[in-house]
Amino acid sequence: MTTLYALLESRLIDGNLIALLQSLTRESGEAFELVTAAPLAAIIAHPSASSPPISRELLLHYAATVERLTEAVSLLPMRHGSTLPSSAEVISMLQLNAVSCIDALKRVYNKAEYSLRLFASPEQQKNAISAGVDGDNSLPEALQGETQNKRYLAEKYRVHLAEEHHRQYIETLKSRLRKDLGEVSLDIEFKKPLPSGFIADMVLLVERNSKERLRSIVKNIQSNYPEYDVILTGPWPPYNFSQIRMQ
Amino acid sequence: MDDDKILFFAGSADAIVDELEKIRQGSQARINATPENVESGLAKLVLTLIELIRKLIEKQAMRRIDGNSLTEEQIESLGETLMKLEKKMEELKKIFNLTDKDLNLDLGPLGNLL
Repeated sequence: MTTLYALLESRLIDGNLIALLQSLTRESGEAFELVTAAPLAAIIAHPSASSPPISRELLLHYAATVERLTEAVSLLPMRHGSTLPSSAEVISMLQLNAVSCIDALKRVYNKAEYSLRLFASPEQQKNAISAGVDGDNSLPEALQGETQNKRYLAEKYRVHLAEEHHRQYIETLKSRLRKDLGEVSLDIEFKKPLPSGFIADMVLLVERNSKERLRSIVKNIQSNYPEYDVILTGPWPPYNFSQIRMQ
Repeated sequence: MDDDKILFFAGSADAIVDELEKIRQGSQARINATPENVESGLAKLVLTLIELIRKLIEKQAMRRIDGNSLTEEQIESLGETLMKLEKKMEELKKIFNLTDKDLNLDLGPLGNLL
């Protein structure tokens, strides 16, 4: 069995990458190697005969290895569990998927992924939304009246209005963040669904040399949105920007 | 996560840890059907789907109110229908010993159904 760690352009293979693979082989006991089918290459490993069963440690080790590789070269990171029966199958896969892999590699070339999240307690979110949306809170004329049915519908309508304001607030916030971050990142993806407590959760693809610029923009975002805790993490391998349609 | 991966964070980690703990607790909710409780497991699933449809009907009704396309008579009839639907759901939840919290499905990366 062959484990896939990453795909890259074969022109980027250099002495540093080969030295890193040798070092990973020494440290892990897995035999790391490069297989090429120009213009692509894959970083693979042959697990030792006594491979440990799947565990949290194994997943973290895989992720840490992909991260070290990403620091050395622009690549498409694979996820744990990406395996093929042999090196020959890897070469066939590279040949079959050359076009979509090259497109995806161009997208991430010399870039890194960052995660940006805006956190606030549900109570803080409610306050921010009611202060930030100029919505009309009045009931429509059709619901004015004192019958039981109308009172019931009016109650439902208020909940509906609050949900609409929430949606509208998030859309406005997303568009502002997109504008603020557009200076360093044209590739921004907002994640759904939002985990509880987060009002925005996004991943950004940013030039490797723009880390400090990004940090400074995020500091400004924090100043503009003191009601939220802004959390920026990275750089990460570009997992969220590496979608390829495998044949 | 390594500290050097956190490039910017000026807030309190405690509040975030609390919220994450709530998510962890929520993610433990599963339909746990066994031969002994299969009836209530099925009831939970069916009532969740009915609740989804009821909420969709409610949402559509609110949009029609927004669109100002309903007559006085239709408004009264809509209010009565939605109220009866909600009451019926409350009765069914009581029969099967379920709460609002039970009527949901964890759809993994897509989030919760309701």
